[in-house]
Amino acid sequence: MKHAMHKVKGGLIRISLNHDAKKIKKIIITGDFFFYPEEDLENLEKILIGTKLEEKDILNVIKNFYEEKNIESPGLTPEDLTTAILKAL
Amino acid sequence: MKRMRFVDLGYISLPMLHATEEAIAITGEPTFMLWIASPPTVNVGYFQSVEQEVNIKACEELGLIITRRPSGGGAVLFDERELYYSIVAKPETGILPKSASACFKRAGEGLINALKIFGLEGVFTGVNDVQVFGKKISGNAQTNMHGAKVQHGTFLVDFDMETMLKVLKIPKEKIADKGIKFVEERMITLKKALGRDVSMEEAKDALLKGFQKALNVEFYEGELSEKEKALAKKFVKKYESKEWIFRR
Repeated sequence: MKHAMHKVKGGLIRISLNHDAKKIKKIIITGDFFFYPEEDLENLEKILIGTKLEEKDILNVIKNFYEEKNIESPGLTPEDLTTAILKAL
Repeated sequence: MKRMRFVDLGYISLPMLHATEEAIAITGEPTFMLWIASPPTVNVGYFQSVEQEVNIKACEELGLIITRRPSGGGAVLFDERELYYSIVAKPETGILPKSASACFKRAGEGLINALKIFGLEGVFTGVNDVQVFGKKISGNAQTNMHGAKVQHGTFLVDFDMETMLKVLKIPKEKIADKGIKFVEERMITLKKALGRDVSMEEAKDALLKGFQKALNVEFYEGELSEKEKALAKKFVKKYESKEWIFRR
């Protein structure tokens, strides 16, 4: 798996990423941030599988997930997560 | 003014503390707790990987156990020189706000009030820290359990910075050749800020006063109910399990 770190206001995001030429195959998001509801971080990881390795695609998936699940993650935005994922490519 | 139960848990293991928090979340009685972590423990946040954050070999050598808390945030060393608080309350009680950020700020007020009693000016910074002289004196974390908010954190009365450096994996680029100075530049204790020893009793008294004001309640000293004790005994197995601690 490829790894990347990205520091934002809400903490240090660590990404472990496995991908093929076009899509995310597996992703693990860890770090010292806060994410509510907590159990939804793993659901986000699941939903990201199959997402194209394009900034707009990744950001869209995360943004929609935030809205649908009413995610609250102080100092950690969908843009931050997207940047972190792109860093692991 | 609303009355709120205060329980002095004394020395408690981290798994038992979390099990107790969960038990209270179920019984639903709003509770403020003070406690001291024993035995000393390396503790990772809910979303962290033990491998990434903890020097497991150093922990084994020093006889430190590794635990995971149900709340987010970063890896820390819990030792017996620090005092900790924990609040469990359903948002409907109005004691803790529903929003995570607002809840962190409410707890921050409690700590800032407590610092004021010592003549120190505390400042809430970032998402979950309180600083004195630009250095961290309290780290806080929060989670939700069974419809209740659990808000907890540390009050650095004194702290074993050298051991923390040994057991946590702090990126080499960050430390460079600073060693202990790296921590001293970022963290401060009550003892250092005041230039004198501070007893646990004095620190407890300040936190009780500070949080009564911030939560707008009056504490009365109580105990855990038999039901809460029984539930905690059941839940502790989960927090002690390898599956929980090494889940990431």
